[in-house]
Amino acid sequence: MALPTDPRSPGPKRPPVPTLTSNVQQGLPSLAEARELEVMLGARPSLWRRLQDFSGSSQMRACLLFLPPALLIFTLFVTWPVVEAAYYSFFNWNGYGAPSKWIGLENFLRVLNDPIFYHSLFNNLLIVLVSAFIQVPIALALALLISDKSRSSVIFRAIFFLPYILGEIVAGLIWRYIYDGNYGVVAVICRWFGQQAPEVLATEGWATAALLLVIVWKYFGFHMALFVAGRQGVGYDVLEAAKIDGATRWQSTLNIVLPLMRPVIVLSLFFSILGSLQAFAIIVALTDGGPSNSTHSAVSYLYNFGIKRMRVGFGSAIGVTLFIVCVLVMVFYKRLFMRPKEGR
Amino acid sequence: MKLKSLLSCALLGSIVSHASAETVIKILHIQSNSKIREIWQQAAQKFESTHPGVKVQFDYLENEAFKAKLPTLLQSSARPSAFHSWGGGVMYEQVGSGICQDISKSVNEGGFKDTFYPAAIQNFTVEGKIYGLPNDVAPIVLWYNKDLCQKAGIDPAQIKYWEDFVDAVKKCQAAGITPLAAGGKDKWPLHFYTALLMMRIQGKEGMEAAYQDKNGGFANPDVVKAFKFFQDFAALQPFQKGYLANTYNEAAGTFHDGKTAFHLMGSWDLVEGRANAADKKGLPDEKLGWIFFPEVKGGKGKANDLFASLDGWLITKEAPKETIDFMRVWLGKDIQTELAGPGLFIPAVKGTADVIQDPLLKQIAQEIDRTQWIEIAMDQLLGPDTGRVLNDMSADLASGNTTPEKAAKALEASWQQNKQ
Repeated sequence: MALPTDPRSPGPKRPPVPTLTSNVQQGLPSLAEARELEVMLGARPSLWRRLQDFSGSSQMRACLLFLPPALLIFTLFVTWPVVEAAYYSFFNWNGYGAPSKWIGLENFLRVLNDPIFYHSLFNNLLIVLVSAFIQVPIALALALLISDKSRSSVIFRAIFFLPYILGEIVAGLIWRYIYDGNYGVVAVICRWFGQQAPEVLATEGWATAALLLVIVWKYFGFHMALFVAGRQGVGYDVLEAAKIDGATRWQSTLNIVLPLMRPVIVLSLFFSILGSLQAFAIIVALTDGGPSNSTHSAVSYLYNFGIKRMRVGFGSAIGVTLFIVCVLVMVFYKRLFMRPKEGR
Repeated sequence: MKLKSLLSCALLGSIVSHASAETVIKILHIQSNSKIREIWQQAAQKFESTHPGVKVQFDYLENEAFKAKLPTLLQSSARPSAFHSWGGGVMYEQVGSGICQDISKSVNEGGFKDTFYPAAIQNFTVEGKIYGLPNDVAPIVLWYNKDLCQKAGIDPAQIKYWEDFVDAVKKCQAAGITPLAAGGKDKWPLHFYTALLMMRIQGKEGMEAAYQDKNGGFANPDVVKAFKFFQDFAALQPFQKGYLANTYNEAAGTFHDGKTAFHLMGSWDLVEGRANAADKKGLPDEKLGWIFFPEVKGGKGKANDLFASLDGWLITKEAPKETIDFMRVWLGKDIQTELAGPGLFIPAVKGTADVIQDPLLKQIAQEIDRTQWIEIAMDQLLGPDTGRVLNDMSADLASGNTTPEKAAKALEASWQQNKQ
């Protein structure tokens, strides 16, 4: 109970609000009482006060219970490796013993002076472009064709989704056989027309094209599935209203369905960029970056020139550079396309 | 109370079991051949029976997994007593980090060291100290298909100089036969050409000078010349179609299916190469022959200067002292003779060449006895980074993506960078 002489006390008539602190600190104004007074006086609670408020709340208890495991795992497996990689990138180190040869920014200079690094980034860009201008339109068109609930549509959806289920390594190996110039399907088809089969994977340029084709083939089903879900989310009532107003199917698709599916399309492009930045296993299985390191992605470049060659410092520098590129790309993409007000 | 007694029981139990624990010799290997592993296991049993309280444990890791895990494994407490090594640059790194044991003294005892080929021991010696023991020697030779050579009108025995070999390639092409098989996707099969040409042109002293950065290191005119020879050679398109997209296994299959006349490859091609043929048997002995990689006119290297992959075992620090005792049995003449007999590989132990039954492998093994110089596979000797640069450059030279001068400079730059 507050002392009656305390000028801050609102009076003895008020029943005390039981809080954790008021039970402990008998005789002092409880936190809740003090808070109320502050409100009465019109004072904005300080950060410290708000923290104190928070510390007694049930929200705090929930945080104390659930936050540490997540935070610990995130720190241990995400933040710490990033920090460690940043540290290693300043050393000329092969992974044995402790890093001791400090070379400053030398590793970064080596990365930034390596034409293969830029070529790998260019390949990443190619993947994004091909995905945006070939893969996504194909997936969107297919999704619009087969998004209804008829039996045949379900079957076609399953067929188109199949390549996505395949493991990347498996897909890469299958396509290696398809492209083979001696006994592959491509070679057989060429021979039907009396042509000498091209050695697709052994020729620069062709190998990149072949890789892009496999990536389109492998992932269009995933984008299609996104679009099917997005198309099914467009309300039937809107379409019916349009129909009554005399809109043709083409018109309602162009002016109603597509605008309403914008968030899904944006998300799909986001996944394309993400997929391109992560492209690795399929490249290793199909070309391993060859011929003449012309088909590396940024990640397969890191693996081949950093890890395989036991250049941990150099590899870390590639990783850090790539990390910065990723963050920049994601920030800009979010700024440009994923503003909440532009959503549905 | 109950928990307490249980705990103390457990503690006691662990102490007791620890006290009576055997010494375990752990050997980390990459050998997938079951016949070899069987004989190794016999060696282990033989040793265990005469050394009570000592257990030998072979742990297998697949080649790529082995390379990836080794640095971490060696620096952990689960470190093996001995592990597979190709010698060369990677070994220097391992020795430099202090995880290997100097075994010079114990292998000198009873002349154990002298039972191996000196060149093989040399491969595991760093600054005069021995850190490991050799297992096998696999020289790289030029294999040929007798039928196809006859068809093209080539007598392989007459190929002495590089020019003769180039002529042979042209003869093959004139007869509509693909001259050579190579796994260009893997790149290391192509480095056999550039490295052997370097050896033939510079000779032993020239090679050593390059390693020691004398006379311009690897950017010296002889290396450029070797690269030029190889690039001109590749311009003739002597390899199977699409070789830059083929792995070693695919290329070995092509040769052993009887589709190309020659294949520059290690002695393991007899076992592994044949396994990649369509019929899993490959070319029989009577259809197969080998010659040394040709000499270059005016070059300092001899035809029988061997270029070989030389594998062995490095001993780690804190390995039980019985490890070397086991090696005396395991890498001793008896067990190695057993391995040599069926031609599983060419042991690095002197005198085992004579027991090899396979005539082709036996001829190669006997050359090891005779040779003055064994050069270790350069992509190993140069270390993991520069070795791969040489492989990359070899592939780029073949595809015409670089010039000999640029390739030599890139090689030297990487060598300098990694020596810092």
